[in-house]
Amino acid sequence: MRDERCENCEYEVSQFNPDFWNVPAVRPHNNCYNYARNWRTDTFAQPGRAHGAQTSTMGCGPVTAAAMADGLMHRCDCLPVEEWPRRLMALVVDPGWDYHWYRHQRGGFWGHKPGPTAARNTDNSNAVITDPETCARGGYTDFCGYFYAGRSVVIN
Amino acid sequence: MLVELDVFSGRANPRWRLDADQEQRVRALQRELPEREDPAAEPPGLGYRGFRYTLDGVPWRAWNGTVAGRGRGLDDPGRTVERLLIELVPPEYADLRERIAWELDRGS
Repeated sequence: MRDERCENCEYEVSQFNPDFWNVPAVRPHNNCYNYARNWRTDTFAQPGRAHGAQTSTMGCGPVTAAAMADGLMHRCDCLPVEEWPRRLMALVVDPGWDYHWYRHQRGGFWGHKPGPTAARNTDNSNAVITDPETCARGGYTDFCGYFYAGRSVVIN
Repeated sequence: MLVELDVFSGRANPRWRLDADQEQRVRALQRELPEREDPAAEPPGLGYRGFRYTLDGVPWRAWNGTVAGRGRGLDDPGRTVERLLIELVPPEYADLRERIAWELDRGS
């Protein structure tokens, strides 16, 4: 689909498929980063770890840098069609403590998987997430931005 | 007994082991708790989701004044199990102790 916020950029939206993530063999071993990248690793993937760039500083800047070492691109840095399927992800941070990711889904909403819990498309107020910038996020108060993840993004 | 503080999304949750005496303290507290009539509420996705542990073969979650496991719910209005487990957080997670204690005091 065409990215409404960027001239000439396109990405793909996937069907919301929580059943894949919510079985006992998958759910505890995959986190928000796995879900948003749409890649099961069973390693509770960490931004940057696959490329020796993991951070322990929980802030927008360090987590963004770590994720970009995995190959993520800032939104509006268009990915070529060769990077199909290209996902749109959003990053938020609980400053000093943790980070969290969302993925844009088909149907105009966002999905996410809080840590080892179930994948879902609702926020902390149990409302369907239509905007990760304004949804109920508890202590994850810092909105860090949007990113594209193409097929070449490797996480672990 | 392995205890997990279920609180993070991206980072791995802290886990640590209780020794036999500590485990017995949890067991004794649970024995004193009355059964709930209503099902336990589900924690939110993001933020503090309670302590998870397996006691006598049953997986339990202590959160928001309820201790729930395998279809059973125990009322713990004083959050005694959660407060004990905060007390037993090992030193390497001491920074989390203060934060979770604050969450308990504000009622989450």
